[in-house]
Amino acid sequence: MTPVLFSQSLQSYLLLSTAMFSIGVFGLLARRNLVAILISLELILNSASINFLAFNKFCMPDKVTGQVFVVFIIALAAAEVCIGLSLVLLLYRKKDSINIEEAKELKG
Amino acid sequence: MIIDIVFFAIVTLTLTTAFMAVWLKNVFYNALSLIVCLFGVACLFIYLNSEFLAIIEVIVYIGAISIAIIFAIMLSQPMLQKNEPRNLQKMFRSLLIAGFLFAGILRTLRATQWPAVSVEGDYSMKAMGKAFLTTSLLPFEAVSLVLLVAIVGALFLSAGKSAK
Amino acid sequence: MDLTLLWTIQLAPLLAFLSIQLLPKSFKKIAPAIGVLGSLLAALAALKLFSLHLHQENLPQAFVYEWLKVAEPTAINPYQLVVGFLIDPLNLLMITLVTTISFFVQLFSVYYMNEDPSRPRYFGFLSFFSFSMTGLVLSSNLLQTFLFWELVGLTSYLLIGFWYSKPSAATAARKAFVINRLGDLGFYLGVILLFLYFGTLNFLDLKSEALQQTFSNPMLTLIGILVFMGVMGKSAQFPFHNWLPDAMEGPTPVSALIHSATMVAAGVFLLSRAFGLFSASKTTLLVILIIGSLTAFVGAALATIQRDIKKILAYSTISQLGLMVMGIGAGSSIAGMFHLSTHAYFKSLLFLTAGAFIHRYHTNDIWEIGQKGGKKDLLAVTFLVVGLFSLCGLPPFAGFFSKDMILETIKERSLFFYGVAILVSFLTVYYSFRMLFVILRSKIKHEEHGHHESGLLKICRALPLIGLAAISLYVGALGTPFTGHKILHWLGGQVSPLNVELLITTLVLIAAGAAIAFIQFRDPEKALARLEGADNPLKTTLERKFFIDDAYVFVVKKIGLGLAWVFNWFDRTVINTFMVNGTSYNILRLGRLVSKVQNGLLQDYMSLAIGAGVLIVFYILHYAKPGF
Repeated sequence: MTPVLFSQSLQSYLLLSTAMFSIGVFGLLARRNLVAILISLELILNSASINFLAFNKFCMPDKVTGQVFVVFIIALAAAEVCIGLSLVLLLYRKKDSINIEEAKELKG
Repeated sequence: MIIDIVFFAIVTLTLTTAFMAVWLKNVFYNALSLIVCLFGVACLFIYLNSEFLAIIEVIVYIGAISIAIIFAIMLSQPMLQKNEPRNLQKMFRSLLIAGFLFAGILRTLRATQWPAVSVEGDYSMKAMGKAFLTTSLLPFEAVSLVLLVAIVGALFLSAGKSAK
Repeated sequence: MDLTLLWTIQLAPLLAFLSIQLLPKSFKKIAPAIGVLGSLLAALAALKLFSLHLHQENLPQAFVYEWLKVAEPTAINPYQLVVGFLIDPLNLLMITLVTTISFFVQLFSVYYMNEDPSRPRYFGFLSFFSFSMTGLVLSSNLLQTFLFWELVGLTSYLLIGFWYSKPSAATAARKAFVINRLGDLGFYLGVILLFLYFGTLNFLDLKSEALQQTFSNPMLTLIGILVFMGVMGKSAQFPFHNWLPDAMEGPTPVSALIHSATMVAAGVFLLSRAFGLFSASKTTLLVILIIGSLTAFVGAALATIQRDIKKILAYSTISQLGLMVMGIGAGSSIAGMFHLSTHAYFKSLLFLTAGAFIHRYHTNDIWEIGQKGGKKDLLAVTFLVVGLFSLCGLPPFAGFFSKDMILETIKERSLFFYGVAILVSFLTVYYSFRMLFVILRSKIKHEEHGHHESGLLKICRALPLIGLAAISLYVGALGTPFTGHKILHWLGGQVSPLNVELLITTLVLIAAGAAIAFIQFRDPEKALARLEGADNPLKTTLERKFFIDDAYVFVVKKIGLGLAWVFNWFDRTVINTFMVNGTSYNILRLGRLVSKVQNGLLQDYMSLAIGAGVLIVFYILHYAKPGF
């Protein structure tokens, strides 16, 4: 795998973004802290951005499309973090902790 | 060669800090690792000929989003709180799923024949601006609407009972 | 002409029944008249039919209609179900008997039931009985016979339980019906087996040789015994006899018609009808003989201790039926039928006489009848004597000739059974004279004169008695050498010269029985006191009717209820707990188990979703792209 990462090529970028995506998913599923989950979510979004730009450079004739899409991703990530953080505040207010395992009223 | 080593270094940095961002117990460390990771991602954007996006990444992600995250951390958790022990079963399960996901996606990607196109082209900001106002006008406007709604929603949610 | 007459005989009673049922309330008073009229029409039609065929030209004659084709006809038999009339000598004799006795009983009932508020229902059911009985007699095949057999059983139930508000009557009616049904079970199984393998149920086809070709001997015996079970139920053979004494709860004319002369005779009639079926296997005949003799003995023995006049006559009927069955079992269906004819007339005469006594003195007990002045009722006493002498077999009354013939037949077959028959005859004489002496020799204590009856009622009371007595004498005479054994020729039998030895035996028996009865009962009051004071095992056995009823109760309670208990347990434990409740319980448990997946934890849900997604992706990749 290592030789791939040495040089710039589509494969290396893809590998990188996949790795980052997986790390993000791992964090999503394993962390108990709600903010940590949001952080993992950011990682996932960023891996998607890298993916878009990589394909944009190596596979698209029109070099603008990918970049436009990444702008949207960034904008939407911002909006999502906004809401997510207000939810964190709400949860803290209710349960006095941001352990996601405390928020299990919708069970059964 | 220099470029390659640097490239390798940046990739390593990104991946390592990404890993740190999920692995460390203290959530503040996570946030800080995220910042460094995002910085690495910005460098990668430069490698991918999108300088504009690199700057945007730094300003928006690192300058705004990460700060907001840190605000949230500060507001919601005492720093000196003793961290709870890890749940090994949960960790193992997540590792498994993430691992299979990684393997699956990688297999798909490797097996596909990606079309080969020349890397030369017009990456300029000018072209991007033009595209925003002609081809991708609708998403552009829609995203601004989304941002508006998000802000209002956040205000509403956090205002609690006194919201009106 | 024949067919018209046949339909008249069949339908006149039915129409009487229907018109009585459909009468508006204000017209219900004429119900008795309708009943009598219906039965008169049927009787006249039967007599006319009889006279037409007096010389037996073109008999047997059948009018059949095929209503169901069951299978392809075989070389031997048609495998179709038919319905229709059949007339032959046996039949004609029986139908005359049934219709004439029906008429006399209807007439007597006008007198007997003149104070009963439910008269219309009574006459309706009586007519319906006539319809069913004539249907049974005139039918051409076993299945049709079975149909009318059931109808007759139903009518018997309705009439025994006529006074249904009396619990004893209702119980008796039920008992009769249930025991009848028990017999019918065997009957029906026999019919099924017969039809299945033989292909036809027509009486004309049921000949011994043909049957022996189709069936093996064990099979023939089985079928014979199964059909005989029906006879046992209907004709009160041991051990299905215990319903007949209880059936005396019904009105006395009903007992006269149904339970002495016609319905119980239906079984014996069937034995003669389908004699080919029964005689095809020697074992069947032996079984019939044994059961007949048991019945005859039990009936006669139990008759000797009864106080109720109707019960005496009921047990006497059982005993005589047993005798008839013995005759048939010994090989001569003609002897059985002859005795059936004479017995029908004199037994119904006896019952109507008993009814005359009961209605006038308002009691069934022979001691009370005697004490209330029974011996002064000349009409009733005369016919009581005539009937009883006939029963005992005193020449020249009818019973002598028919009983004589049966005794001869049995003697030829087996000396042992002959001995049993002689014993039964002795007992018959004993209980007959007992009844006679108690009624005639009791000192009159509280005299009761009959209330003044209108002329019509007097006629209705007297005429049937006279008529039945006359006919029974006539029928008996038909079998004697003096008239050339007409009836025997008619039935197709052989004639033997008068057996002097038998004559002497009979006379000796009668003398002995009368003497012993006289010694015991010449002073009825003392006799009663002595009997009531006695306490010995013989008395207990007789009083408990040889413990037959107890046996029935035991079987039903222990075995029937025991089985029911087992099945109940099975139903409750196995089916309910395991299957019914168990299923619901287990599904609930399963549901609870499955609902544990929804524990409210977000990351668990996400893991599930993402993990499933990964698996699906892998699955698709594996199958979508070979060699991946």
